[in-house]
Amino acid sequence: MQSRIACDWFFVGSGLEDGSMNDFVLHQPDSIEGASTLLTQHGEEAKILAGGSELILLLKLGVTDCRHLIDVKGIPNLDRLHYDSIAQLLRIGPLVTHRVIECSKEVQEHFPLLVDMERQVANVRIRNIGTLAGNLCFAEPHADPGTLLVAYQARIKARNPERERTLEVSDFFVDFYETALDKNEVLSEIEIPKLGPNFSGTYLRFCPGERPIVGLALIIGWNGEGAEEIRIVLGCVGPKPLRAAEVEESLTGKPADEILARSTEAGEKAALLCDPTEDIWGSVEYKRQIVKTLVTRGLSELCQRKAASGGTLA
Amino acid sequence: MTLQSIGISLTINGKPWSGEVPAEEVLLDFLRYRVGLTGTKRSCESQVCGACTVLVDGRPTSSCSFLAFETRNRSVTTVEGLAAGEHLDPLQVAFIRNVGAQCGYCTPGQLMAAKALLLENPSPTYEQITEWMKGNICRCGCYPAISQSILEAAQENQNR
Repeated sequence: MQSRIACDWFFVGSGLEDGSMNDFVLHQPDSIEGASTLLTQHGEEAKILAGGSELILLLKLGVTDCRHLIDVKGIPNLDRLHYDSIAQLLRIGPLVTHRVIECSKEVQEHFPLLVDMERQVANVRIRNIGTLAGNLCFAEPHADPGTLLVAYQARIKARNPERERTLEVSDFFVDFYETALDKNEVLSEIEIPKLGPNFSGTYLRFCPGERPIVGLALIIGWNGEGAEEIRIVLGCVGPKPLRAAEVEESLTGKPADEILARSTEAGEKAALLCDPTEDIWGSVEYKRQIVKTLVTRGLSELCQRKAASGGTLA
Repeated sequence: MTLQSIGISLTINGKPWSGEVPAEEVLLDFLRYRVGLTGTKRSCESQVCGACTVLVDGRPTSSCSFLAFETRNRSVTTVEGLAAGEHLDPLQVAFIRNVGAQCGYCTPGQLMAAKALLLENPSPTYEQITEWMKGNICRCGCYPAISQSILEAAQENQNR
């Protein structure tokens, strides 16, 4: 409940009279282990500072107990962005910003859908400073990256002094502003598997203000008969990104022209699967209507693309 | 009452600045109150409106949400740094010519965002301009004049 109230705050605006914020002590560890140790030492009072594009807002609003800022920007090698062509994985370090991903020729070549989504995030100032990892860790549902990463079936690596573990991104998101990271874990890498040549995808969103109200990541893997694999991920309309599994099942194996004919029905079904919150950006009914519209459009787009050339944007 | 002060050295509009800043001081307050450069404006305080845009190492940054100590060893450019003495930047000349400002409050942020664009892409298309500038809000509605000014300033820069 606390998180839903905090959620509304971000829509209404800061309402601040001045720019003052909590005092804090700054720590600048030179390793992930060091950062992790500080998190253990200071518990709820410690937060990681990467880009700070969400954290500094929280500090100004006074909605956090943070008294210890752990600045990880001095830790070497955390800003690496690398396409591993043997494993066909994009490896994104925790300090890589949205802007670096957006402008990377390597990412454009192998993960154009990711570039497409990153271009839409917030504004150019936030993209310059904000990190993809930070966005995921903040787990604000009204965000773009999580939705697409769930569709990509990305993985998150998390490290503390005892171990490094890997989570599926769909398990990483738990609730509003809550991830599966342990208190002293630091996100150390994001892995995104490249989609095969028979895959096609699109990222659509509805964003009248600064944060998206509805997001849709849609990926289809085609074979000779039709849609061998469908991933429909609804973003921003629940505590975390949601796979519309029932809709996926109903369309899997069907040829493109049948999916196209059933796209409105699929949209209606998807709209009822999600759990949007009513706020100043719309009622539950309004947001469900947007979900239906985006799903219908997304399926149409991919089916028409398949019919036109079998071309892929994945 | 600050818990911690940090010593920093940086350049502001090409001039060196050294001193201590509280750890929690944001760049906007640092510029307006500590350095005395009031051209950069406070508005939404949440990185949405762009009125507080300055350049940090040439990149557009919301100074309201950027900690001042993070400018250590970097360059900061504000609207006061656009003109070279009496010589206005082509962006400023174009804004004046096209009436790119009415109340003028968002204008420093608009100019700095525009400057960042032209540093990165000296010949943007109109579409690239509007896409880049969508993070800068103008309540008076000067958007077409602003975008046109940026296009003209880019052309002026190419002609030089």
